[in-house]
Amino acid sequence: MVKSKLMPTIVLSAICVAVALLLAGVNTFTLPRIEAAQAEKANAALIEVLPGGGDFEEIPIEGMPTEVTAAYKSSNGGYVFQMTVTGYKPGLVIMCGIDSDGKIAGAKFIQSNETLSAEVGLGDKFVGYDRESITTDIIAGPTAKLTTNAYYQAIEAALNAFEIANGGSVDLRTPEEILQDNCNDAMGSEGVRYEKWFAYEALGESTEIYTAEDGSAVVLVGETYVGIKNDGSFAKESELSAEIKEKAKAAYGIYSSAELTEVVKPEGVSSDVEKIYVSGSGNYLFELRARGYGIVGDKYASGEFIKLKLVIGKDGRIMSILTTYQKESPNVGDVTIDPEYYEQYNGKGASDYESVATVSGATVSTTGYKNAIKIAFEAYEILKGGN
Amino acid sequence: MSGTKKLSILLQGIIKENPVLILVLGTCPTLATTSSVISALSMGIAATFVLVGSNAVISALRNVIPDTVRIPCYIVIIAGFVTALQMLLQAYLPSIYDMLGVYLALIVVNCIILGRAEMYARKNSVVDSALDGLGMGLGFLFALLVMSTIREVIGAGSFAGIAIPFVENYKIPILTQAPGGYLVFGIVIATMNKLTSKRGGVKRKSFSCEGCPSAEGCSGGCNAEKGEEEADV
Repeated sequence: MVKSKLMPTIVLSAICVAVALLLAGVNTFTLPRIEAAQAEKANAALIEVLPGGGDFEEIPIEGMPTEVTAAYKSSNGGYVFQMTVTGYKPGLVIMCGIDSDGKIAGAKFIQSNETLSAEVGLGDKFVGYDRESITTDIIAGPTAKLTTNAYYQAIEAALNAFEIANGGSVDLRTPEEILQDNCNDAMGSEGVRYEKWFAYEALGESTEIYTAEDGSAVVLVGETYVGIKNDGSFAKESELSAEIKEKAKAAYGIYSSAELTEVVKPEGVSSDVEKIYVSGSGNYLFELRARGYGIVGDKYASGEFIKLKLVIGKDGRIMSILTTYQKESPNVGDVTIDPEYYEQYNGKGASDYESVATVSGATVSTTGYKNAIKIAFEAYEILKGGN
Repeated sequence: MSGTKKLSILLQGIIKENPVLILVLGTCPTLATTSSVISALSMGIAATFVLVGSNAVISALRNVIPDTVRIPCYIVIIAGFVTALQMLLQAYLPSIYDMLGVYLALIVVNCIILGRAEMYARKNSVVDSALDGLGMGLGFLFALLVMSTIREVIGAGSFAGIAIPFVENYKIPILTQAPGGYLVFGIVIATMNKLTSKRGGVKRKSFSCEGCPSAEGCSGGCNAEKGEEEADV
């Protein structure tokens, strides 16, 4: 009875053990070949972007740019880096091979969620460039801007990763992080957040002022960041030359005494101009809304305006501009909130503001933005007594 | 047992009891791997290897394996052969391994293999079981080759990846896709039925209840059918 109950279990267990042992035996002699075949397959993909490379070894990516998701070192001193970036949509995976001289040997898309046409051959354009010679001129041409910019970002990350892998040092901080570090260095503080003052008065030889909630300010004079405490004294006075101190003090004086007065909107000014202010020296600040994709787009659009403010100086040219709100399509029309885009209008007048190019892929948003600039110039003309 | 008998065991699986075209077993890999001749050939050979090996081992162990756990035992033995085959292909023929993909692992649950273990190997000698496995494997391979030749030649205008002049300009691509697979499968089975019926047809008995793994425990149609047959006699 016990035997008949135990027998099935014993036989099944014995068969399982025997099969497992046989498989272990097969595995012992097939494993080296399987590993070699897999390595060969992986190598073939890497050799495509690094011709002449071989015996690739995966290396750790700690300390490399955040875009880099995998890195391989070739026996000939070259490297292959895999980057993941966001173009029109997230998930753009690009592989880039760099030879031992630091020159790009090849690059290609591995995976993408976007519609690619002319962009497929982008990698070939970078071949032969290194960290010193790479320039955005390479990607100039009729390709989708967002995808192309993402490609450039990936290639730049690969070149930086190559430098790091070879023992070099690369500043991987974002421009914003660098700015915050510079402001805190100038103040001798740590972790204080500084925001750029929206200048509606000319700051003389200083270019920019950054302010913190505690009332302190950092004045940028040339390339020197000058910290000024909330009581008006210098944070690091001993480190500053008399000339720098004088210029910083003058700019700080303009900033601390600057005032705005709201102006009644004259007739004939577009309803998209929400508020108008005039500064003590006669510069006009306009708060207005732009009709981007959110307003003129299809049923999927947000239904919201882009909001911006800009200052037109006494010379009729834009001296400050800032996008304050937008709900355009993510990764497309939201380029309008990127300072790299809107700061192109700085210094432009009524005659040349149109020279700022619309962004391919965000045409509706950037055309709407440009129309808002036109409306501001029209309002400025009316305020000055023109038509 | 005479040589003629052994030959008949071998030949039985190729035409008379062809697992795909007569017994209609293994339909899933048949439809999936017959879009090209090379993948069909690879699948046919792989399944034959597992059939011969598992039939022989199951037959050798038929007096040791208790009835209550025979199906789990068969599955473990079949899975062992399939896993070993996977390792060998991955090591020595990686392109074939990649081509067969998931269908290679699915040989474990191919009903031809489990069916032959249950129907034949557990009741017959090692040599006869191996021959039955070989015959069934060759029958499976033959069916796959017929299907894949029709699908690749007409659907892709090529044979084993080699383009056929003229034909490649008039290909019907749907034949290489799933609907084309069903269409060709139906036509081939219909043709096979027509051909075998001219020679008296295939006895239903040979592949119905008698060959069913659940026949012994079945209280319904099987016993009823048996009763009908006895009544006919």
